[in-house]
Amino acid sequence: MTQIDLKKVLQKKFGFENFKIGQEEILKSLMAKQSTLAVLPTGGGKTLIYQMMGALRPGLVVIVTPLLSLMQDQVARLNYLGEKQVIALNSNLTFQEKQFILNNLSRYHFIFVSPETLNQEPVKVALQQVMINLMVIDEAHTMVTWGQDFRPDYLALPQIHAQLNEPQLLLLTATATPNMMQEIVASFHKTSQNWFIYQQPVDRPNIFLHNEQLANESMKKQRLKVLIQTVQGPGIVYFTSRKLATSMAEWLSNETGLNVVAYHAGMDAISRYRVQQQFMQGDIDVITATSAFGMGIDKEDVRFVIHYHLSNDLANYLQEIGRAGRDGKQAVAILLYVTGDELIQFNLIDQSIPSEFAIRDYLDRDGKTKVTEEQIKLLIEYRHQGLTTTSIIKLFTDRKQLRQNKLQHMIDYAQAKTQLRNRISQHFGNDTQHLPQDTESVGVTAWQPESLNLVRQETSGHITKVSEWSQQLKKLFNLQ
Amino acid sequence: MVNAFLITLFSSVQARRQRVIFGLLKRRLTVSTEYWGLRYNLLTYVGLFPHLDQQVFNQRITQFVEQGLLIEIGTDTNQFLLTEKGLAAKQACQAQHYQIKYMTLATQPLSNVRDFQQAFWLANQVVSESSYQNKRYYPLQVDLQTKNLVKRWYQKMYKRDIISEWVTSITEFLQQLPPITANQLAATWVGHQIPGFNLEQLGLPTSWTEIDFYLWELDLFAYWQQYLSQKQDDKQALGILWELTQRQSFLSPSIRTTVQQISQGTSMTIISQQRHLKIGTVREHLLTAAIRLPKQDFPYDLFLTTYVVTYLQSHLVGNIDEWQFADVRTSNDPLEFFLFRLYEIYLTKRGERP
Repeated sequence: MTQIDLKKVLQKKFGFENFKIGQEEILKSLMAKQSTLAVLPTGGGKTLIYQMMGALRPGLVVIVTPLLSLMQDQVARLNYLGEKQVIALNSNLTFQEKQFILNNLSRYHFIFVSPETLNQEPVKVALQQVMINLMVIDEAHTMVTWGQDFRPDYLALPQIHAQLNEPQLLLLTATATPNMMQEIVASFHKTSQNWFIYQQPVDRPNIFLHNEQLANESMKKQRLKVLIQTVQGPGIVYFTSRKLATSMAEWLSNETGLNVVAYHAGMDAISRYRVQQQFMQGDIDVITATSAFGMGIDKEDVRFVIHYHLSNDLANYLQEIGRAGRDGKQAVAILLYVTGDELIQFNLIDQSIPSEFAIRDYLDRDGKTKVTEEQIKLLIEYRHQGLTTTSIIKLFTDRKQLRQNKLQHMIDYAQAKTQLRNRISQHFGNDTQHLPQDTESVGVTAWQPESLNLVRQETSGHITKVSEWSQQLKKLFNLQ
Repeated sequence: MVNAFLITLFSSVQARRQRVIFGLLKRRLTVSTEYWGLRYNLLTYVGLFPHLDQQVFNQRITQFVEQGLLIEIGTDTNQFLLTEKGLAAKQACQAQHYQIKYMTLATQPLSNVRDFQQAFWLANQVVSESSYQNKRYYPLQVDLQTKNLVKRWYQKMYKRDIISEWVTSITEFLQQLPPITANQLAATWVGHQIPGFNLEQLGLPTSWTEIDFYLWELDLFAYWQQYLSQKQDDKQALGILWELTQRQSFLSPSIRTTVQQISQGTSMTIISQQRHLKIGTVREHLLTAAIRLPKQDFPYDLFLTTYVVTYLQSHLVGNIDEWQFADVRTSNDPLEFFLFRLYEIYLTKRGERP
């Protein structure tokens, strides 16, 4: 298929004039039947690639995606783009619903599926019966970042791929270091000779990078308040805990008079929908969120992303700040850091990876007090693979070490006095020669929103108030 | 999060089983769980939290014990009483949190209310968008069955003046509510360029949590449900949607058949043979029906004959919850336990509680 044909389809079917950077190369590689790993920034148009493959070729596009909440968003987005035959297959479905879908797979064009569901025998059997256009693994970096800690079924993806007669692969991620890319590709060893790897530079020149070290927690809190009052929104503030995201939303709303709303994966689907849509629509000034927020959100005009806590590693950090400035206009990413903040992350690693003692206790003495259900599942999985207790312990210790190392890069970044951009680009194996030099700063006084023309303009004019129901009905149903 | 609500499910005078309360909330039912649900007067809450996690639930109970709010009766009995402190906590909770008003009067299983609520949300969005002739929007992600149900419904509505029918029906219901509640409820709905309000935007009491919000919304839909079920002849768009969502009934068809056959004089043995059911299953059908049906709808007198009642009365005294089957047992015939349990249900329905 020639270049012109691809563009024609793009214009005719999707109404876009031009491809975003990288899309065309990736599509060409896919049409040439190459398995493809694409490292594209958030907002780089990943959805369009598999949507387009759905338009160009017959068969089912299978999209493996890690988060349930994200899956809902993706289905909604394809619906929004006019695709009707889209379904999400996951543990939220009843047995009957699942049966229905599996018996009618050929009716669908796109199927989103979690690794856990995909690894179930009936699902694999059903998928073997239909023609698979493309197998997409979204957020493919999770195969090597947290796949092994929490989700044993991620380990099985290469095997499942083989069981499904090796359909063509498209692995998508916004963030992968050269090592991660090697690791991901190597896990699909059989097809490894024929890979096309596309990597777009990770640097986003329109996102100004700014780090601040504060003396203590209460100064950090006050500083956050000032930033929110002075920097142009809309913005997102990331926290590690749901609880803090929720209580800070309330505090910041009260203190600043702005409309600050919390978002996290513990909320029910409709509440999350409301928050997302209010944010999309510009009714919310600032979202206080956990990392669950943003993966499925296409808001172009986010002007700032503030991190109140560290991300787990630079890959996640990059992913999260990448939600700013998708419209290409000036935006800022601010990292607030107090010495010791990393303890939260270290604790999370300790909690998610069982200790040597806990592993021995479970595997050799059948003790269950020190391990969670997910960990048990993982331990059993390794046992099934015939590993000894000692080698399982080694696996986990290495894993813990690896995550601690990755976290260390994040800490180094937070403590850095200079060279923020260089650090990130280097970390992801990018060339650093042509990076802009004057688009970063460190220190509370080193940066003012004025310098980027990001001074908060309006005072919030949309504090919500419940109106008369009869008025609401008029607006809901276009009655005059 | 569910904390505050959970404590209200315990009592200071009746020891309650942790396992039963979990089973009720999650809708993991056995005849025994339902019987105790009846005794605790908690059947209203069957299926209230279908996604409740057992580990989390157990942790909460342990916390309550550690905080001195609950006390276990004996060791490892799994039965708990509210302490004085626990009772005070319960009362404080009731003052600060939403109190269910309508669900308790439900004539339909809670799952129907929930299905109606979900279907309404999506249908309301579809109708709202259609009133602006907009086809490009993010549909609410409801469960698949509901999504298909709304699709089917909307296809049927083709050519009808759906917007005006819809608005009329909604208006009728909102007029039944206190005006402020009606304003708040309408403000939660999603529509064309209207994302809907969440808890903190509605001006509801500030002490409310997400759970209160959930119960408040669900309770109002339970009320709507009752309102619609009283005007069955309503063939407006909303009435039709509502009918489509009423898929569950309190009694499964099989249980209903058993009750019918028994009422017509067929014996348990014959039913068992005719329908290839175990006799134990037939007895379970009958106990389930007795628990779920109003007293007058179950033929108690076919089983609780004067002889049976006199015998049981003479052997059982005091608090029903403390009765032991061993005290009345005379043989290995499982029918004896059936009669014992049925008698307990009968007395509970007659209003005898601790």
